[in-house]
Amino acid sequence: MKEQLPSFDQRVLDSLRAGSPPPPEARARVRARLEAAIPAMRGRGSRSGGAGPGGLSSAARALAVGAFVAGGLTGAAAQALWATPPAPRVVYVDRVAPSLSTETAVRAPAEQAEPPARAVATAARAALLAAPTARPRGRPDPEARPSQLSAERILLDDARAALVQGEPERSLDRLERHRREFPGGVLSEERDAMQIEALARAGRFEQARARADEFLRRAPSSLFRSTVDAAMAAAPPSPPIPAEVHGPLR
Amino acid sequence: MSPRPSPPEPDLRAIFDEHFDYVWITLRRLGVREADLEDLAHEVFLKVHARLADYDAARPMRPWLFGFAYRVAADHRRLARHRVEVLGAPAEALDPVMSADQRIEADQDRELVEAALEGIRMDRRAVLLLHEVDEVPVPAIARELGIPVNTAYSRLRLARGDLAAAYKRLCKARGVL
Repeated sequence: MKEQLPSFDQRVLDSLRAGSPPPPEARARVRARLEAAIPAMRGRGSRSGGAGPGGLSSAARALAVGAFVAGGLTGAAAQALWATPPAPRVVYVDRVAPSLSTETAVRAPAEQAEPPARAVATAARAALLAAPTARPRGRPDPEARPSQLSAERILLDDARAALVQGEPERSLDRLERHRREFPGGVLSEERDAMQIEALARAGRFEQARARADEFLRRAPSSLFRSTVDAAMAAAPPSPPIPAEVHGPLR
Repeated sequence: MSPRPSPPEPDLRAIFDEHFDYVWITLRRLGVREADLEDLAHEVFLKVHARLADYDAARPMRPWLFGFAYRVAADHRRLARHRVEVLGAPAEALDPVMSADQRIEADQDRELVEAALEGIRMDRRAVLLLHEVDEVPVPAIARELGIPVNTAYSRLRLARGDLAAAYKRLCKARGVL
């Protein structure tokens, strides 16, 4: 079954990622305050290749910043005197936090050492998958460009939920699907580590061991090394395989 | 006079030049009001300066900076009982090639998302932003925030559910279904 990608997720993430940058004068003001407080912030030339006015001496730079700030203040004063200040555009919004507590479907009792049970994962997932109906009118169809990270995340969340629920084979199925669809995915290292864990929990220790060896050769300093080590620590020592036993290990 | 050799620890000016925008946008995503952004960005870089010697150059800079922004924003929220409001960013800060209608829609969309974010607990929101926006792996998030990996996964899952529910509710309330 082809899974529907969470277009809600994509649109929301696009909005989040499109945060508007600070106004240049804010950057200059914060920089001036830091230069006043921290000697190390005062430049000695053009060593830095950043956005600052490289190439100026520190005195000239301070002067430039000072002039900039003074100019801004003068302009602001003139504006305050001669112009009617526009009303600040304040959008009051519903305080959503309290009402969230009533929607217990997506709330666990507390963050637990082990991820919560199927109900929470299912509810969170259902909320994401159901949300496309809430697309504001006139928006471009986000399904045309689904976020790879979001799609990967959904698969791995499912795999992890299955693992927690004691269904390692279902977890392996989801992980295999991730491998097929995102062979070089952003979360491929996490997938591989989880796969080793799932194989071990399924009792497929030889496969888990082989995958673990390959994983640790490929990424010895991986952030997921502890996951792999823990999975293999729980596995029994490698048994000798009798020569008369045939057939592939599943 | 020959220039001094570069100090072994990262240069605060370079960090500021490269990451000021990130710190600013992160603070806003963490719910800091426009009027407070300058003060809090300043505070973040003061704290960064105080802890520069602790920075491990083998680790990415942004998650490290996020930790400062998160703690500064959380302290700020604890100290001040803010009204829940979202100040719109100046229109000129948006993409100049957008039409007026597109700007309005993008502005509304961002306001909705920011308002929905406002309803998510700070600890969950931090994990959500780091993973979904900054694409930081969950174990690295756990390390930066000093929480167990499973807790980070749990917070991520809950934050996504919270965000979905809050966003949907706000869309309904504003008639943008």
